[in-house]
Amino acid sequence: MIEDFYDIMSRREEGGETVFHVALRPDCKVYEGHFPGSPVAPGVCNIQMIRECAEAVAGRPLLISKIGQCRMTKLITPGEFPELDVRVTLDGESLIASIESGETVCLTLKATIV
Amino acid sequence: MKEEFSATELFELIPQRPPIVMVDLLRNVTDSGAETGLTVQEDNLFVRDGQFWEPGLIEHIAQSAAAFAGYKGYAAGEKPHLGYIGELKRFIFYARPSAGACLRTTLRVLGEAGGITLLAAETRVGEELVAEGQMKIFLEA
Repeated sequence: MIEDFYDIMSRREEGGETVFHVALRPDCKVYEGHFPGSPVAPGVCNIQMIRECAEAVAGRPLLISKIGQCRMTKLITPGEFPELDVRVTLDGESLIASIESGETVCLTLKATIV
Repeated sequence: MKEEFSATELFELIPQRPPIVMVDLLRNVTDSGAETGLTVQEDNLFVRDGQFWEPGLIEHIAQSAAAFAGYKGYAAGEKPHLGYIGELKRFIFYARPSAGACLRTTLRVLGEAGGITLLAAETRVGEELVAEGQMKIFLEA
């Protein structure tokens, strides 16, 4: 949906989890407004990236009906985090996901999908 | 002090700029809350297949909070502070508004401490509740 926000570099399975290695695109137009001269990946774009990865796992479009909790523990800037792991676990209506870089957890999400 | 801000007047209050401006009205500001709005344009970043998707609703609520915080700073003669979403809790999405829909959001401050504000929000289109949830926002000093 957000054009040119990221590219999926690789995908692997890790014990029930699907891990997408992604590269953020620093030239995405969203950074023009978020924020001028100070690019920060909008939290909602990160959630959208998770949803799109989850859709790739599910093989169908997904609607988020509920977000029980989403913690954004580290600001994601394309400069500091050019590449990230998006970890997705789908189980029925439950979506559990995180965005990480090495030992750093940037975002955790517990959501209900339909 | 101006009591209602709309469209680009809100640039006085929020640090976000196109293409990711998701609030176009602020009014009825009190110490404990405010009303905000957004008319969803066809070319909105978060519109897909004619519908305004959940991330757009979250961003609208986040920027509503930014505008509310910005209003307080503006009253004190400050520039808008950068604000970040720290946490979302108990968000429920009841419906996806259509492009063209006119969103109205009521914000309620649940608590404030050390640059962190906890807010509850309800977003409606007309009488219909489309989303609600709680959000923690961090403001840079």
